[in-house]
Amino acid sequence: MMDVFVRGIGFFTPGFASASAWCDGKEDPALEKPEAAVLEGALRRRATPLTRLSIEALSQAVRMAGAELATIATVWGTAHGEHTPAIKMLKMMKTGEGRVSPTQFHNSVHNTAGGYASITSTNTCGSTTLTGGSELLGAALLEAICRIDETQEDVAVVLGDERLQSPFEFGARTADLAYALVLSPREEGAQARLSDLALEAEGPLAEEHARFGPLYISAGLPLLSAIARGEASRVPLELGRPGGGPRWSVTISPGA
Amino acid sequence: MKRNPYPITGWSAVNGLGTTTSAVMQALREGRATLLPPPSGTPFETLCGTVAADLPRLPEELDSIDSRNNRFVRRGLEELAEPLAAARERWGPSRVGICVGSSTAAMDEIENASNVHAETGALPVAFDVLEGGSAAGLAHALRVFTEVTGPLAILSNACASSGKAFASARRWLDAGVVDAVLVGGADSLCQMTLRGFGSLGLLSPEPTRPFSEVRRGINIGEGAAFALVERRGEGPRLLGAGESADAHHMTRPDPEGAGARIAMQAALAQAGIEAGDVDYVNSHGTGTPFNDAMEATAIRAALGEGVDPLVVSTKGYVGHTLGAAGATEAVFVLQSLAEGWVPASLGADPVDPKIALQIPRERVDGELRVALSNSFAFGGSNVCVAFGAAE
Repeated sequence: MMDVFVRGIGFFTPGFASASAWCDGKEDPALEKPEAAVLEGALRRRATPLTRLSIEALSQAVRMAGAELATIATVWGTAHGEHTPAIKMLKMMKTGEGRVSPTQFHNSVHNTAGGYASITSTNTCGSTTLTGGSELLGAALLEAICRIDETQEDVAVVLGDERLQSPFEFGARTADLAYALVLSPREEGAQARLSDLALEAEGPLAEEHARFGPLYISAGLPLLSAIARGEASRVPLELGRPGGGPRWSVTISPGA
Repeated sequence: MKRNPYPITGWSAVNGLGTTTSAVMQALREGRATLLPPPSGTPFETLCGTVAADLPRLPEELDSIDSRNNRFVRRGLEELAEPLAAARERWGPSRVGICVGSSTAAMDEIENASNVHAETGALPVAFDVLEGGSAAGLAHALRVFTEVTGPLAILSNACASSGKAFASARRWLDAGVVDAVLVGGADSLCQMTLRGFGSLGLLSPEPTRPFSEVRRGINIGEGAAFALVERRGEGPRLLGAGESADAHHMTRPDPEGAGARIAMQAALAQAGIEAGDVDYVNSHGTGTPFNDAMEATAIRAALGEGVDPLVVSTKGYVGHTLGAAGATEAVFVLQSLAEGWVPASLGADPVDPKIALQIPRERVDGELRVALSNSFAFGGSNVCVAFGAAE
C-alpha cells in the first residue's frame, strides 16, 4: 500500500478546540460546542451535534492543508452514528401516534455530516461513510489511502462520535470527539508520513482514555499525538474487539 | 480512467422473495412479488418486503449480537459458503476482504431495548450498545461467519451503502490490498425507518409502482445480499463504479439529476465502455414521483440520445431494502447477466408519459453485455456500478 502524507489536522472535544490544544493539555473549561462556522442559514439551524462536531474537525484540517472544502474528497467514520436524532426519535415513537420528525429522520443517517458538508460547500465528489466497531479507524484510513491511490488527489478522513446518552451509556464515561486528517500523495510540506497500514495478528492495542472510555474512535488519539509531536513510531488504531483477530496499526514518521 | 474488470464468482440473496438464492431468483424470473402488511403498530398504511421465514437464532456464544439483521447475514453467507471457502483457500484468509453496506444495522434491536427500558427501567440483560446495538455487531458476525482476516469495512451511506461497497472493493483490488472481496449489504425492517419515510410522505399504501404514471411512493423491504469479487476467476465481471454527491438537499434529489448523471458517466468511463454497450439499467426506481422523474432525466442525459437500454426497477419485488438495496439489485443484475434475461419492471403500467425510457412490463429474454445498477441516498449520495457478462 502506498505511503501518504498528513497535510492538515482537525480536532474537537469539549474543552479542546484543536489538536495542538489537546496534545499540549491546554483545556478551556468554557468550551462546550464546536463553532462549525462553515455551516450557514438553514443548514446551521438543522445540523445535528455530530454533524457540527465532524464538520468542525474537517474544516480545521482542510484549512491547515490549504485545501478547498468545495473540491476535496472525504471519507467519514462514526461507530454510533447520529446518536442525538436517534434518541429523540425513540422518544417520539412512544408519544401520541408515535410519528417522528422528518428532519430528525433525515438527520439520523450515518452520512448526515457528509451530506451537510457537500451541500454547504457545493462539493460533488462522492463521499464515503464507514461505521462498525474497533476496526473502524483502520478501515477509514484504508478507504482514504485507496482513494488517493485511485485519484492521486488529497482526501480528508473524518472520525466523529458523540457522548453516549441515557439509557445507552451503560455507566461508561464517554465524550464528544471528532478529528480529521487531510491525507495527500504529495510529501512536500507535509507534517508526517503514514506508511505500512496493516492488520497484524498480534498488533498493539490502544488504551482506553479516561475521558472517552470505550468510544471506538478514541483509538486514534495516539496517532494524533505522534503526528503533533513529530514522533516516529508504530501506533495502534484499535481498542480491541470481541473474539480477538488481527488489529490495525500504522507507522508514523515526521514529514519532509 | 479505465480500470481492471474483476470476475464475480458467486452471489446470494435473502429477502422477501425467499431465504435461498434460488427461490429469490425464481420469483424474480417469474415476475412474482412478495409484499406484506407492515409490522403491527406501524402508524401508516403501507406494504413491506418482509422476510416472512423465522430464521434460527445465532449460536449461544453470539447472543449479544443475535439480531434479525445478523440472521439475514448468516443465511446469506450460508448460501455463499462454497465459493467463499474456495477464495479463502485460493488467496489465503488475510487476502480476502469484506466490504458490506448497512444503513440501519441493528436499529430494531435498539428499539426493542428502548421499549424494554421504558417499561422496566432497565435495558435487557443481553443488550450491549457497543455490540448488539451498533454496526460493531455486524462486523463481529461477518468475521465469525466468513473466517476471513483481511480488511473489513461497513459502509453506511444510507440507501447507497451497498452500491458504494462495490466501488470501495474495486479500489482495494486495484491498490493490491486484497485478492478477493466479499461485497454485500444487509438491513432489517425497523419502526424508525418506516415512520421516518412515513413522516416524509413517501410510503406507498399499495404495491410500489416505479415509473408508473400512478406511482405513490415506496414500500420498505429488508434482507441481505452478497457477491464475491475476485482478482481472477469465472463469472460476470465488475467493470467499474462511479460516485458523486448532489450537493443539493438532504432528502430531495436534484430535479435535473446532475449528480446521478455524473455517477453513471463516471461508471462508464471507469469501465471503459460506451453508452451504447449498455443493455440494461437496474434503476434506483423507488416509486416516488421525484426520484423516478429525476432518474429518468439522468439516465437519458448520461447515455445520450439514441441509446435505449431496458430500464427496470426491481423494488416492486422486494421493496426498498435501503442499505441492502445496492447489493440486492447488483445480484439481480448478476443473475440476469449469467442467464440472459431482464425481469419485468413490476407495477410500471401505465408508464408515466413524461418518462421516455424503455421499461419492460414483461420479462425480456436475450443475451446481455453490460448492465448498470444505480443507488441514490439521503445526503445526495449517488453510486452507479457497471457489470459485464462473463468473458
